[in-house]
Amino acid sequence: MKRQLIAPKAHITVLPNEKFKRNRISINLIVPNAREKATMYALMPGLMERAYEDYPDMQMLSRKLNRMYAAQLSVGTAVIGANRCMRFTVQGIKNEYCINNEDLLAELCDVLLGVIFRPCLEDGAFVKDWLEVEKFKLREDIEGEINDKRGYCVKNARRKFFGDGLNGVERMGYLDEIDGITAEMLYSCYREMLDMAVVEIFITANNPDSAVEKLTEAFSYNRSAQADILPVTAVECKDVEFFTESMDTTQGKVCLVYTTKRLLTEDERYHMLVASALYGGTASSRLFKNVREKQSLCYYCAAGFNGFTSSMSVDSGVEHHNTQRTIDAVQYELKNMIEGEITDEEISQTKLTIINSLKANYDGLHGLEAWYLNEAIRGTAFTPEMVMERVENVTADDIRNVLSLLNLNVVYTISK
Amino acid sequence: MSEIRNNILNESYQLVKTDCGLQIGCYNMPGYNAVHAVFATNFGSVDRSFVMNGQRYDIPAGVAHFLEHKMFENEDGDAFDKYAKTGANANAFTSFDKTCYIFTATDKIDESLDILLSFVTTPYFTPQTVEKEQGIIGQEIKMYDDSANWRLLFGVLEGLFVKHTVRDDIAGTVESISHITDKMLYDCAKAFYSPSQMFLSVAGNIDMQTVLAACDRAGFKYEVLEVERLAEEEPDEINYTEKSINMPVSVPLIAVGFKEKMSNPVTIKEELCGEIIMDVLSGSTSKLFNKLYDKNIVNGTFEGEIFSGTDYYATIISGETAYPDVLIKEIEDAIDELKKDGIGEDDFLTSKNSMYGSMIVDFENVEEVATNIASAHFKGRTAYTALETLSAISLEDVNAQLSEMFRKDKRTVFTVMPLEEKDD
Repeated sequence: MKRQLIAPKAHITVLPNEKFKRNRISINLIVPNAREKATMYALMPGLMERAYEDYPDMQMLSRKLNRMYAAQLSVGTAVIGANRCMRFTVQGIKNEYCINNEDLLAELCDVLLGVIFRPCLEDGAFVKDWLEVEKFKLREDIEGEINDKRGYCVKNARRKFFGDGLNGVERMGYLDEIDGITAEMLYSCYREMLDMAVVEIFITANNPDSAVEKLTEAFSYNRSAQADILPVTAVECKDVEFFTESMDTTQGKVCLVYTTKRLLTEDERYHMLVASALYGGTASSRLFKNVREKQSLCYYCAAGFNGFTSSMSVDSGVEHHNTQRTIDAVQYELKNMIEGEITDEEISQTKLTIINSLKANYDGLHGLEAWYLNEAIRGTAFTPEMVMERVENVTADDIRNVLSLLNLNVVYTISK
Repeated sequence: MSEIRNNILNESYQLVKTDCGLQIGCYNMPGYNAVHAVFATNFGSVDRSFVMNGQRYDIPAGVAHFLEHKMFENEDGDAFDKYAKTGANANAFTSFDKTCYIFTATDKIDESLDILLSFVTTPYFTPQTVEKEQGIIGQEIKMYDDSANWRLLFGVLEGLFVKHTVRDDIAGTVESISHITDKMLYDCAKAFYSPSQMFLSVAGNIDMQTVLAACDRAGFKYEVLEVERLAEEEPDEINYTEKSINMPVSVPLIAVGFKEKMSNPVTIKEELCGEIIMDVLSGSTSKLFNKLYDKNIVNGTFEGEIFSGTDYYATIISGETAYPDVLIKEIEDAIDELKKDGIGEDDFLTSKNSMYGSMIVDFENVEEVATNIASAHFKGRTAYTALETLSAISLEDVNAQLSEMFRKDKRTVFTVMPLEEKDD
């Protein structure tokens, strides 16, 4: 791995790629979350990945990508803690597999830079007709979140949990703001983001030199680069609030969201990695073994800790009449871990599972990229090996102590 | 041992048939940390009647999936608990035509292989454990009952197929699994889980010697077993032309399906030609998709696919739309136009290039490689058959197949509509 500063607040990281069949480039623009811009950020991906100057409509660009042996272009947006990340990615097969000896890596690079720097414009703004199409799609997406009942329950629980805080800014924006957005406003928002953002570029390629040169040159202009990545903040502890939504579903849903009483220290982050996995992150976790297998209360019951918001959510799908029993069981298992015995065997097994998944970061085309992007946003530069070493040292007391920092703020249920 | 080689990728893998009848495929992938193993039997949800050693067995919908769940429990404990000691990430899945037990691991590979080979071939069921599983799987079925996309798929399959068991949900129904007994599970395990019926596929940081040593340790014996699958003959007719259900969804979901007449067994060429046709008709470069997307009739969920197995083949075009009737008409028109004009050279080459790239990518991760070897094996193919066949497919092949497809009287339309608003 080689990371270098190529311009103010712009880094390029070159990751090795001897074994994969594809090369991949991603460019991440990171700015602090802003409630008033959330809907505009949500509209950008659809508009930007459909065309750019050289291939000025959706069908032409799709055809170009298919001709490039099913190259994949994607523009996505993510909320990472209190930050917003706009990610432009392109990936395609290595040059040695091309039938006509094309330099596909160079073409991938051109497409990506074209999308970022030369979007299709009309009167100095994004194309109005396309914006109207994307507004319609965004409206459908937001209204359609109810179609996935599990995700819908978790999202609503987190909405109640985060309230108006920056961590809770909606990735998809807000329905009532869609109509008011114009092509001019949106393009201006995009230009501002490009100008201010912290830029993290990743290239996972064999023979990456010419692409690195091209990418470096593209960002070597006078950006203001005023944005800073916002640090992790935790939601304050509150008395637990219960919310119930009534819906005509076959299965009920439950989501519990916990906050930590204070921000975790560097060491505690790794304690929590082991603790949350042992509690509900693996097929041998307490929740899986006791709530699903022993009590047969549900098909799934899983816990996940989000280090960027210092919060943990547990979600489950249950028979409507078992909702309260499941909530009680989830809380009981946590209390039992804090106050009861945690065996050495359980701990060593959980560590093995985590170490396996840390090693697996090396086996996926975007595994290391995702890893180092998270590190960059967090302001650290740990390798998976460094984390493995810390995981190895976690003790039962570390697990108990870090779990005792959790406070249940919100319980959200969907039932008949 | 045989070596299967591909010159485009400049790679190979090995196939072995052991004395006990178990067949093994091993794809060594230099530079990878992980090993992915798939221990598979070609017993899936479509298998509902069979004759074993002269006796006929008829089983309710959902047995293959139920068996998959129950195999994890042995007399000496749960397989997940055993895997926990090796750190392997283990799971299993049941599809229409096979059941696969899988793990991915970076360490303690020998130990994980021992667990896999042992628990999958050591059935242990009691009335009590069967009853407990009926509760868990009942929850899984109900979870899928709330999934509009799942209901859409099985709605269109039920419309297209009159007798074929592919129309039944893989997990069965709460009612059908209530008839499952421990004896029924033992019978199925005997019929489909003997080593000579199974295939072990591994890919990643592993070699054949390691796998063969694990098979030796498992001590498998060759078992003489005559098993014949029975299936009712599926008529060319369809079950219904249209049907609609209501669910809590924001916009309607629609699937337009065609029952297609192909060889039995379906050939790889028929599958690949079908994929090219569906790509040209409804893929991201198609006129149909681009027009409908910009008119806000469809969104990114719109897709066309072929749905095929050994003895069934259908084409399904589906997506969310606020205008179901308009969408059906547009699909009909696009099919008529394509059948009238045929696919052009440029569209054909674009689609073929795209498929070639996607096939190369199939050899990039350990999970996909091991799974593909197993899937190909049960169809009498190698992991490279599709890549090799693609280059030989001509525009004439594709247009000849197109002329036989999308028969108007073999079409079904299934719609999931939002719940009707109630007046207070």
